[in-house]
Amino acid sequence: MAALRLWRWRCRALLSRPAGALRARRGLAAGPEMHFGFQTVTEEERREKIYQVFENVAKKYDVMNDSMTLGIHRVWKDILVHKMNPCPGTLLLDVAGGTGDIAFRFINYVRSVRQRQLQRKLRHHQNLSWQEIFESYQNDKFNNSLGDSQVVVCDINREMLKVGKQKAQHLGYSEGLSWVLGNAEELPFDDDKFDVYTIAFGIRNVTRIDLALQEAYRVLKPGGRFLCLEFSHVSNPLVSRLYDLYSFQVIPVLGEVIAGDWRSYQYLVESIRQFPPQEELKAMIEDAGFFKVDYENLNFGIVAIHSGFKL
Amino acid sequence: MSLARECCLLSVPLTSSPSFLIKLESVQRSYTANYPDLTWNHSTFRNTPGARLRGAGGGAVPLGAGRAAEAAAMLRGPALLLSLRLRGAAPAGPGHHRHCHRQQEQQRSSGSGSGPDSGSGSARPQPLEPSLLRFLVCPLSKRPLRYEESTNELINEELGIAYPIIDGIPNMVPEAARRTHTKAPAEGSEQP
Repeated sequence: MAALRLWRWRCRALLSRPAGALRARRGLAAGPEMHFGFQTVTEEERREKIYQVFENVAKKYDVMNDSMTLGIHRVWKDILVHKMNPCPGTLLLDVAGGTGDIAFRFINYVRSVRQRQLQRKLRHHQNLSWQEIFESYQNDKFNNSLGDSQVVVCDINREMLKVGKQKAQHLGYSEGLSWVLGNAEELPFDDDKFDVYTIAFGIRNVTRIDLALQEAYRVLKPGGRFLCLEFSHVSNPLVSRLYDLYSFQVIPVLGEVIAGDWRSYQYLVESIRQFPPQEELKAMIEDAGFFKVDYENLNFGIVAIHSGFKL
Repeated sequence: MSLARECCLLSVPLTSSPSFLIKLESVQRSYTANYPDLTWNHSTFRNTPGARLRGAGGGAVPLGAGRAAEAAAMLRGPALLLSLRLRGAAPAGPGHHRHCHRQQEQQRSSGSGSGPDSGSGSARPQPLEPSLLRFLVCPLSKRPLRYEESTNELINEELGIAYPIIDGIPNMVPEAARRTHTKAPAEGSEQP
C-alpha cells in the first residue's frame, strides 16, 4: 500500500516536471505525448487503448457500474437529469452515452412531465370555449406522449452502442431515441441544433478535451446548455484517503472478478486521478465560449456536474 | 455423484427447476454465439431424454438418491451427452440475465417482421430512422448527406465519401468512410 503510494507520487512528480507533459495532462494541444492512466503514450495509442478498454467492458458495463459505485451512480445520473429539468420538445445530444443511461432517464422524465401537462390541460378544458377546444384538437402535439422530444446518443465505440440498443429494446424505449457512432471531437451534426448537450463519465476518455468542448459549443443552439458529469477531485483529506484506498484496492479486483479484466479498471481509476480538477475544467469550459459556467460537487467531490450556457 | 446430480436435473420438468433453466440458458447462449442464425425455442427439447424422463420422474421436486438411481438406469447415449453439455456450460449470472436473454430470443423470433420506424428494422440492411437524417452531416465538411438506399450508406457528394450504416447505426467516423469512385479523389483524410 505504501509502495503503491510512493510509486504514484513518483509518477505524478515525473509527469508534472516538464511543461509539455503538464499541458498534455490537461489534454490541451501539446505534443504527441499523452497520458493513459499513469502511462505516457502517443495520441493514436491512447485512442486505440481506450477503444479497446470499452470494447472489453461493454457487456458488463452496467453490472460493473452498479458494483463499483454500490448503485450510487444511478442517483448521480438522476441528479443530472433533474438538474437539466427538460420540458417536452427538448432535443438532447448525449455524447459518450454508450449504454444509454442518461437517454432513458431523459425519456422517463419528459414522459412524466408530459403526462402532467396533459392532465392539467384536461382539467383546464372544463372552462374553455368551444373554439379553443376545437383548436386544441387540431394541435398535433396533443397525442404525442413525448411532446416531440428527441435524444440522440452518440458514442465512438460500437460495442457500447450495441449494448445500449439491446437495452433499449429490452426496456421498451423506441420513440424519440436515435443512435449514432461518432467522435466527440468531430461531431457529425450541424451547427445550432441541440438544446442540451450532456456527457456523463465520458469526457475523461476524450483525447482532446478542448476540441470536444468546442464541438459542444458548435452544435448547441444559442441558449443551449452544456452538462458534464464526471469524476473529480476530492478536497476533504479523510474522504480522499478512503476513496484512494477503495479505488486502488477494491475496484481492479472487482473488475477481475466480474468482468475478467482488471487492466481496464486500473485504467479507470488512474484516469480519474489524471483528470483535471473542478476549477481547471471550469476554466476550459469557459475557454470554449460558454457562459455562466458552474459546478456542483456530489459526494464530497467524488463526482462533479459542470454546467455552462451558450449565449 | 455428479452423474446422479445430472440425472436429477434432467428428470425435472423444463418449466419448473430454476437451476435447470439457468444451465439451459447458458447452453442456449453458447449455441447462439456459435450459430447465430439458429432460432432456439423450447420445442427443441420436445423429444429429449429429459422429456421422456418427465413421464417417469414426475414432479417439480428435485429427486432423491433412490429415484436418481432409477433415472440413471434409463439414461442412454444422447441423454448422457446432453448432461455432459449441461455440466460443461458455465453457470449463468443473476436472474436478470436469464430474463434478458429470454426476452431477446423471443424478440428475435417475433421481431423479424417489425415496423420500419423503430430504426431497428428487419433484415441485414437495417433502415435508418428518418428523423435522424435531419441532424446528420459529414463530420469533416459539415455538409448535408444523401441517404443511398441500395448500399445503405450516407453519401457526401462533394468529398466523394460514403459512411456505412451498420445495424441501423450510422458510422460517422472519418476512418470508416469509403471513397466513392465517381468524384475526383477526395482529400477526406482523417483528422483525428
